[in-house]
Amino acid sequence: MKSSNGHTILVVEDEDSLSQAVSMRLSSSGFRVLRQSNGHEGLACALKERPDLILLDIVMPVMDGMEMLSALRKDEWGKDVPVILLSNLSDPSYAAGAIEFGVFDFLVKSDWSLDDLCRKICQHLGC
Amino acid sequence: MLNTFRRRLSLLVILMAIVPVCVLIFFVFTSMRNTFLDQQRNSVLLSLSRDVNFFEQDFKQTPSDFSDQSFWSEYFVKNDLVSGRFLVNENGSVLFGGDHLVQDFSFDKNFFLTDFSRHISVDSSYIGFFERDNVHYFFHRIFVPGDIPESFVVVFEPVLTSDLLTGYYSLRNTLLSGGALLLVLLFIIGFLFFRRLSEHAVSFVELIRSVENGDYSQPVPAFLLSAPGDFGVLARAFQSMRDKLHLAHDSLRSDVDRKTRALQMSLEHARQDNHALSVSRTALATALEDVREERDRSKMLLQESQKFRMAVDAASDHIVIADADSVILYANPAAERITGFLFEEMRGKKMEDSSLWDGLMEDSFYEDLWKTVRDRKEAFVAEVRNRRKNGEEYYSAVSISPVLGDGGKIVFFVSVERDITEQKMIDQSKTEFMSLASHQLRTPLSTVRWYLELILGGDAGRVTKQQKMYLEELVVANHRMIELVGALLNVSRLELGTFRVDPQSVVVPDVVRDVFRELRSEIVMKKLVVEEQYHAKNFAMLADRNLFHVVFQNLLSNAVKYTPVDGSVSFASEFVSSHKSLRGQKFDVDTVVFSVTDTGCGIPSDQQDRVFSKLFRADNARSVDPDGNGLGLYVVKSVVESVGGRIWFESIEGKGATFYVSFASSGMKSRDGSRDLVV
Repeated sequence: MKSSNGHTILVVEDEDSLSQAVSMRLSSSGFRVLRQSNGHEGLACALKERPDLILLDIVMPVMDGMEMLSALRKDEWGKDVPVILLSNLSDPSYAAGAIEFGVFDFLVKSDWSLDDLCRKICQHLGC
Repeated sequence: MLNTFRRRLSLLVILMAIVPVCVLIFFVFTSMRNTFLDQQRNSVLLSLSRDVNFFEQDFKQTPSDFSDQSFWSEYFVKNDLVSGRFLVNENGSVLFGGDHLVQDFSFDKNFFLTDFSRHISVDSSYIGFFERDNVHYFFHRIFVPGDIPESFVVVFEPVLTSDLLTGYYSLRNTLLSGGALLLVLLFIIGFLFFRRLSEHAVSFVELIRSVENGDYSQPVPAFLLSAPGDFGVLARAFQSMRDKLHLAHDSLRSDVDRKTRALQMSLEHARQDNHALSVSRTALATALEDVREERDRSKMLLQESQKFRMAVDAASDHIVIADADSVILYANPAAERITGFLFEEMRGKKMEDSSLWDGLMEDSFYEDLWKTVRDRKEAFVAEVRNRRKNGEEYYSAVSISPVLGDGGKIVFFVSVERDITEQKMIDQSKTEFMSLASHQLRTPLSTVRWYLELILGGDAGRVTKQQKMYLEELVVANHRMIELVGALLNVSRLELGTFRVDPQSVVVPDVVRDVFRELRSEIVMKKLVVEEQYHAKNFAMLADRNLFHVVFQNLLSNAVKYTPVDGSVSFASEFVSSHKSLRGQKFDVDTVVFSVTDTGCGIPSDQQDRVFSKLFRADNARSVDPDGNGLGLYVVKSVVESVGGRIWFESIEGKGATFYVSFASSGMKSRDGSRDLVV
């Protein structure tokens, strides 16, 4: 899928329906959306495709979000890419750890509408 | 007393003597008087009689008329019978003389006549006297020769009785004065004599007395020694006797003294011995008593300490006692069991020795520990993660207290630990379960939310009006479930006590504005007037931003929810100094009070006491919003109170409500917890 606004978003989420919903919404806003369902593949994809922003779930099989994030930040390119943690875990004890890894935001999925999510991404990427 | 009696007796005797003497004297004088008087009377009568005899001898012719005054006058004058006398006939009429009667003798004719007729009559005496009013009336009848026997003439010679007694008086006076003089003389002589006598007696008595008192030194007066007669003999004998007595007495006394002294000394010795004996006996008894007491006390102490020992040994908590250098002196069996180390292995090592149960906390934790117990000398209480001898990790609730001795110096440390691993595990699993549950619940809720959004956004094609209506119902329902999950999660965290408080400097107006922004759509829809008022512009305080958000969000969303169209909602902050009060609440420290006011349906007064309870919803609230979960205020109250704040409200049904939340202006205290509350 081509992006009309020139930005690529990587969505790393193991729950397929959620992943799809986000992807649909972002696409209709003009983003190019990449989807992975675990941290391992997400990491590989990120390093390969170098998206402009990563939406990262935490609870995932194989490799969870925090592990992927820490690995990502070790990469030359990966240490700077903006990451939004998306989770339904509501306690930011993870956020405390995530701050170390330079996370842009920590959002609880059930509290955010897709619209607002989109707006936030646009806010950050300036589109 | 005897003296008084004797004196009284002598007085009586004297009186008894005086009285007859006086009586005697009286009789003597009276008889003297009478004798004198008789004498005088006789002499007067004699002279009268002599004069009358001369006259009778001379009487030659009987007068023709005895009343013839001139006859009598001539006769009297001639015979010189007149002076002081008068002539009276048988009827008592004065024939001649008596001119001086009334004047000289206070003559009373009536009385005279009575007496006259008594004493003088034809048959009665022709010479005599009678006395009347201290006047002697001497009379002599003159018989007139002739043949008229009833007629007689009496010559009266009145004489004052006192005149008759003149001689007697003078004699009497002489005698009396002489007698008195004599008496006085006698008295003086007697007094002098007796005094002399009594002086002797007194000095004698004094001497005897002095000897009685043991005074042998009183000299015997010379006048006694040389007193004539018996007294002198007595005095001299007395003196010699006294001297002998003195000598005897002295020698006796010195003997006695000597013997007494000797006796006293031996007595003193005996007493001293006795005293010493009793002292040592008492000392012995006391010492024995002390020993017995000590024994009893140490027995008791032993029992007490045994009791304590037994108690400590039997306690299920790990108890370790260390000295002031934290060298372990004692560990109870529970400590051995929990840590896996035997007391023998612990003894002599310091509590923080790493070869013992290893602490898995950070260095700063242990620094804080020792600073608290050693420097501040306060008890340190915390949860610790340790490692047993076998390497197994465990959690314990630790309380280390310093034991202070005299002068406040540390003498011991007592460490009590309770193995809370199991509890912690349970808590952890509870928390994990909650997290998992909420996560698991949220995932499908997110899915529903987003797909509804997509559908309503037209991503799946055009939506009819009716479809939109139904779908919007689903949106609302889904939203409620999401809220419920969040609230339930918070409740469970509150009840587990696992939520975290992380105070930072929070600019309160920012948080409030965030909340208002979230509520914007409803506010706009209801055309509510919104106000914010802060006691200081952009004021910040130390607080957990998350908690503030939870609290304000709850209160403001309630205010918005329950206020009808065209109502108002306002948020305000106020600063209250310590010990002042606001709206009936008193504050001990400086406090910031937040208030959320609305003009909504208010809370019925009969339901106001249940407002903060779990799952409670007032009837009128239910009619405004049937779908609220009743957990919001419970969560807010628990949160606020757990950070030391206060929450209360005022409300009138139908008018509105104001909810107040206060925190110390020094800020929220930080709180370790495993989770944050759900925002």
